[in-house]
Amino acid sequence: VHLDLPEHGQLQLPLAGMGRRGVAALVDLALLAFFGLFVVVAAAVLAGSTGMADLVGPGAIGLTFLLPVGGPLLFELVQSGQTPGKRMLDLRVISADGTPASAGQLFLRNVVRLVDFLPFGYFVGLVATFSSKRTQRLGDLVAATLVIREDAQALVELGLTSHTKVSQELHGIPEAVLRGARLLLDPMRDIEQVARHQRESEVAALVRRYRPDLVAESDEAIWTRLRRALGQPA
Amino acid sequence: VSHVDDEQRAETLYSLASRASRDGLARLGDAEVLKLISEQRWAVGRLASLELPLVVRSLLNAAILRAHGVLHRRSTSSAVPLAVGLRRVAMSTLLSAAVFFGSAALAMVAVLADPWLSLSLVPRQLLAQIDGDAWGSRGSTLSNLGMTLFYWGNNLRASFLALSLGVLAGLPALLVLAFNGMLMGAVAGSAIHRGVGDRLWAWIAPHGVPEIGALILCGAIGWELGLSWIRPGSSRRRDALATAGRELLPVALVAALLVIAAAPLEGFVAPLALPWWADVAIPIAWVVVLGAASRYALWRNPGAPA
Repeated sequence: VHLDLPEHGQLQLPLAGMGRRGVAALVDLALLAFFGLFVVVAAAVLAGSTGMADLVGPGAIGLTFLLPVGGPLLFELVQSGQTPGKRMLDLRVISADGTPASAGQLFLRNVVRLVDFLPFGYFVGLVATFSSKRTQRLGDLVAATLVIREDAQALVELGLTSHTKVSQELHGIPEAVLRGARLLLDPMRDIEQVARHQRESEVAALVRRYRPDLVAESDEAIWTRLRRALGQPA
Repeated sequence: VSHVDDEQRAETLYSLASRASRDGLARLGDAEVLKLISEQRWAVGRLASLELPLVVRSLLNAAILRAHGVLHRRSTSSAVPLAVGLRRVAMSTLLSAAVFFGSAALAMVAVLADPWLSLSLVPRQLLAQIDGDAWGSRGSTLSNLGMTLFYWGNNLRASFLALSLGVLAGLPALLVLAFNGMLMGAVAGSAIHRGVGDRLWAWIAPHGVPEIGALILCGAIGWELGLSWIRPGSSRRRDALATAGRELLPVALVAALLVIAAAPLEGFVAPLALPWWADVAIPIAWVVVLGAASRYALWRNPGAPA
C-alpha cells in the first residue's frame, strides 16, 4: 500500500500480513485469558477470605466483560498502538494516513473488535482481512487504521521494493505554492497581463526559496519546469 | 553527493524524528524543527533516485515514515465536532428508539394478555427478583459497589455490541435493540401483572434514561455505520465507512459516558426507596440535561461541515 506524502512523494508502507497479525492476536488472547482467569480466582479467594463476596464477585464478572475491548485498548493507548503481542512481533497500529493513530481511532477499532470476533475465533475479522487489500479487519476499516511491521526485515524489503515516485521537478515545493501556480496556469482564468507577470515572478521567487538548487534559474526556466510537472502545455 | 552523506543525513533525520516522536515536536528547538522539515523534503526527493544502495533506501524509508508521523500528526482540534455526528445520527436515533420502545410495548402487551409468556421471555432470575419481597435491596455498600462494576462491564458490552454489529449491515444493530426492548417490555408486563409496576418504575427511574439512551444511541450509530458502506454515495465504500466512523466517534464517546454514568446510579440509587416525586423528577432532569447539552452542541456548530 502506498502513502501519499504532502512532499509530493509516495511511500510504500510495510503492511503486516495475516500470519504475524494472527500470532500477535493469539498472544494477546492468551494473555487476556490468563489475566481473566487470574481475576476470577483472585476474586474467589478474596471473597472467601475477606467476606467481601458481594463486592469482588460481580466486580470480577464486570471486569472480565470489559477485557476483550478494554485490555487491547489500554495497551494500544499506553504503548502508541502496540499490544504485548504486537510488540513481540514488531507490529504497530497507525492511522491510514501514516501518522500515529489517535485515541479515538484506537477506541473505535477496539469497540468493533466485538464483531470481528464473531461468531468465534475472529471469523468476521478474518473474512474482512482476507478481502481487504490493506489487510484491514472491520475495526481497522471503521477507524481508518493500518497495522504495519517495524522489524528490520520489513525495512530491507521496503528498500528492495519501494522508492518514492516524487516528481523531481516538484519535490520540496509546498502545496500552497503549487496551488498558486495551478491557478495561474488555468486557461479559464482571465488575469490581466501585468498582474499575471507579477504573480508569476512571485511564484518563481517562492520556488527558489524552497529549492536552493534552482536559485540560479530564471523565472522563465522555473515556469517551464512547473508547466512540465503540472501537466500544462508550454 | 556520496552515499555516505545520504546515509548520514538519513540517520540524522531518523534520530531527530524519533526524538520528536518520543518527546513531542514542542521539545525541539526552532532550528531543529526547521531542519526536520527541510531534511524530510530532501529525503522524499532523494528516495526517488533508483541509484541508492539498499541500506540507504531502507533507512530513508524508515526516516521518512517516522518524520511524516511527527510533522503531519493530526491535532485534537482537528477532530470532527460532536454536532456533525448528532446531525448525522438524528433520524437513526428516532428509528432505533421506535424499534426499542415498539418491541418493548409489544412484549408488554403480549405478557399482559398471556402472563404465561413471561416464563418464556424473562430469565428466571429476573422473575424471582420480581416475585421477591426485597427487590433491589442489597443491604451493603460493598454489594452496591460490586454491582456497579458489574453494570459497567455488562452494559458497555451490550451497547458496544449494538454499535459494532451495525457495521455488518445496519440491521443487526436494530435486532439487538429489539431484543433488549422485548426483554424490558416483558419484565414490565410481568411486574404490572404481579402488581409491582411501581417498584419496577422506581428501579428504572434513576438510571433508565442514560442507560437506555446510550443503547439507543449505539444502535443508531451502528445503523449509520452499516448504511455508510451500503450507500456510499460518490465515495469508495471503504472511505465512506471510515468517514462515518470519524464523524460518529464523538457520539459513541457520549454513549460510553452515559453508560459509565448510569452504572453507579443503578448500583447505589436504584435500590433506594425514593419518594414518588423523585422517581418522576430524576428521569425528567436527565431528559432536560441531555436535550440542553445536545442543543448547545448544535448551537456551537451551526451547519458544521460533514
